[in-house]
Amino acid sequence: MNSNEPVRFRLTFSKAGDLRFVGHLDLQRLIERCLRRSGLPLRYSQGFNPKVRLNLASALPLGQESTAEVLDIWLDDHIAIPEVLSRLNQASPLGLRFHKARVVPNKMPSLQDSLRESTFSIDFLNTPDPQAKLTALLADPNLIIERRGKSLDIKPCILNLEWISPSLARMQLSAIPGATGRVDEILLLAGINPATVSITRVGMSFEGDVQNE
Amino acid sequence: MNQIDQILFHVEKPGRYVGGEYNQAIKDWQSVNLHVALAFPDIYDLGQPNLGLAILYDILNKQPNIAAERVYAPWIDMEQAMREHRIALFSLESKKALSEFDIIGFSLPYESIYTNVLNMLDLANIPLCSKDRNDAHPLIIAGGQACFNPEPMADFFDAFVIGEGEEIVLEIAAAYLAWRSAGESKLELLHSLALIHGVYVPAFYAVDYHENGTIRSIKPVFDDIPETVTKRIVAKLPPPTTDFIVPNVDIVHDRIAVEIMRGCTRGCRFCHAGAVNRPVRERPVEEILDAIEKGLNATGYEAVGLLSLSSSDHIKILELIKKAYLRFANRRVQLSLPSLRIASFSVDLMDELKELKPSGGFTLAPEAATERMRAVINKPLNESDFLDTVKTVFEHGWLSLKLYFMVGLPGETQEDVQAILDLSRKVLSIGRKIRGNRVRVHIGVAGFIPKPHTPFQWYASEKLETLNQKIYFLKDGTRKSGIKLTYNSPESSLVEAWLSRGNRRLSAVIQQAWLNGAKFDAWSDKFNKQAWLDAFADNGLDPDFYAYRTRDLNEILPWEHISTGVRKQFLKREFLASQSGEIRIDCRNGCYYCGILDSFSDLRPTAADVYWGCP
Repeated sequence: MNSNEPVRFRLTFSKAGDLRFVGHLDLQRLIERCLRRSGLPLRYSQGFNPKVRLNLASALPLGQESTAEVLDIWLDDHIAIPEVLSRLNQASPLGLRFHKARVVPNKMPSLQDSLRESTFSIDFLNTPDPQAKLTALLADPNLIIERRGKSLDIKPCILNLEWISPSLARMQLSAIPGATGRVDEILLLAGINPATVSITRVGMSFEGDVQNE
Repeated sequence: MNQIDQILFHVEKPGRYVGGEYNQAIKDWQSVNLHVALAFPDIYDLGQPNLGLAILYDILNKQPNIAAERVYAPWIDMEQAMREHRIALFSLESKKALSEFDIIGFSLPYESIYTNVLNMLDLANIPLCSKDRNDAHPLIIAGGQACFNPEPMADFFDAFVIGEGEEIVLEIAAAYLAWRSAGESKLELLHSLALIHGVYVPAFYAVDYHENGTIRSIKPVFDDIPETVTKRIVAKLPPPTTDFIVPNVDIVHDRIAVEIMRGCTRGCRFCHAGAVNRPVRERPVEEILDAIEKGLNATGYEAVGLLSLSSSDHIKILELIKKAYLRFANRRVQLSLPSLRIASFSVDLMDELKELKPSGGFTLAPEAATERMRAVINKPLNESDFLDTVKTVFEHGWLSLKLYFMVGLPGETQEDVQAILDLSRKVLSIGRKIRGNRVRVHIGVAGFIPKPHTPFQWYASEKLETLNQKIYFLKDGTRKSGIKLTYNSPESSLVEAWLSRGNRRLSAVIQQAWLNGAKFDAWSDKFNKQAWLDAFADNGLDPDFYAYRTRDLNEILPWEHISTGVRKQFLKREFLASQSGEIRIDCRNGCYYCGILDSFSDLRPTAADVYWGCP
């Protein structure tokens, strides 16, 4: 067991194509195996059943893609950034691509604890009048949905909606525990089938870590 | 967005249907001249870990001119969506419709998967019966353990591979390519396949029946077709496959599988695998270790299963485990060793494995609870040795022990069933004495189904009612006892009882059962008994004739023309020995002339028998 201080790397990766049909727990296991294949000097958890130390910022709903997923890993030694990226990418399945890595202080709070907002790009493809539908929806003072049997107003979770073109929007949602907006839920309220649009997470922002904003 | 993607939003676990996993082989469709679909007739979660298909996938894709792709049965929600949107069954790699492949090879490991084969062909818009397919349709073949009695599926498959696939798969590919370039008819293709040792073309055999439904004769219809198709084996096991596909979604047996040994010398009379996979062939220790290392590097897996029918019988097993420990201790992998013999030696082995990374409980399979019954099935073990092993298991720190038993064995009495309870209670009290009240004893009970090519092939299956009574009795007896009981519902084993020793008249029954709605028969909550009973009735056949009839020793059996290399005379001798309770110890120590050495005299290694376990 290595007792040196580990080196914490913050990685940004994309999850694209058919990999959007792979859920969060599966993704976590898939990345763990990718890390094991990479040959990087992984830090394992202590204890009876050691596991690769890794920490994913936020679950992405099934069916959505991302260019901005964030993950922390801990290595036993310092490895040059280009090598970390190339080893990971060589070990990655289709759809998973690591594009950024940097060393962050070990004392930084966990990604989940510091996550504040997520930004999504929504391509409405052939959906008729998406702008009208969403504008009408957002005129409501409350947007009540059912989540695990409980009613919840998600209006305050919608921080911003910006139209890039008539069929392409950017939606900024809060991502604080207990107040996490979901694009698919909002679209359903607006009468749009989320299966007919293409949703991509394009950014996440974390308190105290400006570099990922 | 394409149509497949659209429906994937609405089905459970869509990651099953998209491929794209690490180590998937995907080739440019136009760049190869042979497209093979490897099909498993159940969902991805169960099919993906199949080692046989992984081996064939690897062998075929190593050929530059061949692309092998995978296909599994869609789950019920996906099937419904596909039918609604008229999406034909497609491969995971290229998402090509199955009908665009040249060859479709199905794995048939057991009978309760047969209706899924028909469902998959139907979803692919391919005619179910061989006679209804023409030159433009893919060649449809099968291999796997259930193919040793191919007869119930005879109408649907163009050809069956009997035995081991490692060599024959490329011979079939070559025969197909030669046939295509010659531009001949499908009959010519089947003919050239039938001449390959180990290939069975059912259409080339005529079966004649007696009035009473038993078989009068099975004869080839052409002069140059062999009267008996003898299984194919590889004399020496090739180095194991290591570039396993690493699934993106959760599956069963999610780990590297390395077969350390094929075949078994124990000669348990109920055991199909032990009968059809002779002779024993072992892989050398270094080859296994190298395969584990390559596999770990290629997959990133954290678990390795060392597979065989009887792990503790590998001649160098202790050396293997000790060396594995030295080599992999720092890689945090869990090694598992299933199918351990009941002996304290096995506990030593598990001790070594525990050093590597602790895993769950300990499992032992006495199969029967009385010495008398164990003599009948030829799995000899005296009770005091068994209890000593149990004691050792608990003394070495395990808290949980699982025991496997069968009910419905030939000649079983109420005392034998009662003995399962008595023995389990003894085990629990030994465990508690050593380790206290945290000890858990779990018994797994299965109803015995006689299998073709085994010494028990002549026996009737135990009646469903009797099996149920025995299970209820065990349920009652384990209530509030600290012993956990799990069992396979005898009802859902009916398909196995009907089909495993069936003749080709059952093809019509299988087809009708599927039309009546039968599919996923192996899933006890999906099993549709009425669909099957109606299908038997529609075809004027009696299911009891197949399940509950004791066969005459001189009867021509439906699989008479398929040989595992074991002589029928040997099986008869073992059948009689089971009735007198005569035991035959491990045939590594002395040959009982099963016939394997004669059948494969040309293949037997000549100098040192280091990898072939026959004496």
